[in-house]
Amino acid sequence: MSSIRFSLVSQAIDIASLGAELRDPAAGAVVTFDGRVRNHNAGQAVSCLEYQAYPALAISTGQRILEEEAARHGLLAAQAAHRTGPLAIGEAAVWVGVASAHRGPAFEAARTIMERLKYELPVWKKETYADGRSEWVGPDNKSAETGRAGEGIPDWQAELLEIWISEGNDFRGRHELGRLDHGIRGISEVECVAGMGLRCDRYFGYKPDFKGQVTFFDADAVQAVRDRFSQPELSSSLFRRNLIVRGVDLAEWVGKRFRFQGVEFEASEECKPCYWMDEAVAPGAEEFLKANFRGGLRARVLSDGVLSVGG
Amino acid sequence: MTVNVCYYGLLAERRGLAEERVTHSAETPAQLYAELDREHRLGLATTDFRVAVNDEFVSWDHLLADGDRIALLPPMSGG
Repeated sequence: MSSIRFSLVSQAIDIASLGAELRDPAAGAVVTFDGRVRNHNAGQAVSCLEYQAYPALAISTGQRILEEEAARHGLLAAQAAHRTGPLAIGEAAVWVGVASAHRGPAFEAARTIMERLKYELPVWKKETYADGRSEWVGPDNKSAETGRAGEGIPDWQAELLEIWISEGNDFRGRHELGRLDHGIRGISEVECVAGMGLRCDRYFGYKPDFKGQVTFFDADAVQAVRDRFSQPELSSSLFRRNLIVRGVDLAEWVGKRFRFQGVEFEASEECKPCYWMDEAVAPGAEEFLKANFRGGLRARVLSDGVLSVGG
Repeated sequence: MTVNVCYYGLLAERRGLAEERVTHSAETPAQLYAELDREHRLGLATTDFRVAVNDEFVSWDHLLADGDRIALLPPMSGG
């Protein structure tokens, strides 16, 4: 019986009780993380801090994160708690604990849950410094006022034609095993989460700092494949890239930051096609996609926002 | 229409209150925030933070209804 629960607490986190919820005879691994208030941040001496929360949304968001990660990593149990109100140095601000059959998924899940709580939970931290000043801090502990992203970042004047997301991989790691057949869904709007990717996609929170959180694909490449292989009706979903765009030269953006519909991205590398494309599209498709950067562009998501088709 | 607007963190501090009733002509949270930002100089751009309506995250072009509870959520900083 799995035990998955997120709680928001105004008193000291009861670590012993949460840990007891992780007991499971099938669990070979339990990983816990205890996030504490430290006495310094960004070169300043911190004397205390305070967390403000939006309780209804924080609880539903925390619970959803635990359930999604438990399902994805096959956990036996997952528990987490976040404090609200004033905290002293050394107190536990957040606690995450997971149980799984083996250590790999347990370590990965605990890390991912913790990262997601930092970025997605509607909770805000106010630090009071040794000199008496206080300030709301943003994610990554930068000042919420000056840590604003996006200044001076070029804007893509591109069109978003289609959005594709899938719950699981079809090809990755499937060498000689045959493709899987996870469905792929076309949607009109998708939520981007900084450091995580596209909500509900297989690469959402896949691993820390993953360079392929999202993939862009040029609509002209889709058309070129249709023409080359005489398949005028071929769906752009076959390539299993996320965002079908027009009006931007993807090859120019490797290693650069940009904004698209207000969301900030950092392009990492060309999304190289693999031999599965020959099976999914037609023999020769892999070679054809390797040319002219047709394979698409991989990127990290740097800020939160929503992308819309036609937006 | 009249809605309840809730401010959190930095935005609550800049507005000087946590919640207020606002009568407005906006159709979406983006338009409503533009009105509030003009009036109270809240200073964040909608591309940099999120909004919830009736305890659920929504996009900035979500359609508002009379009596909605709109929460303005500056960049989060849990953990």
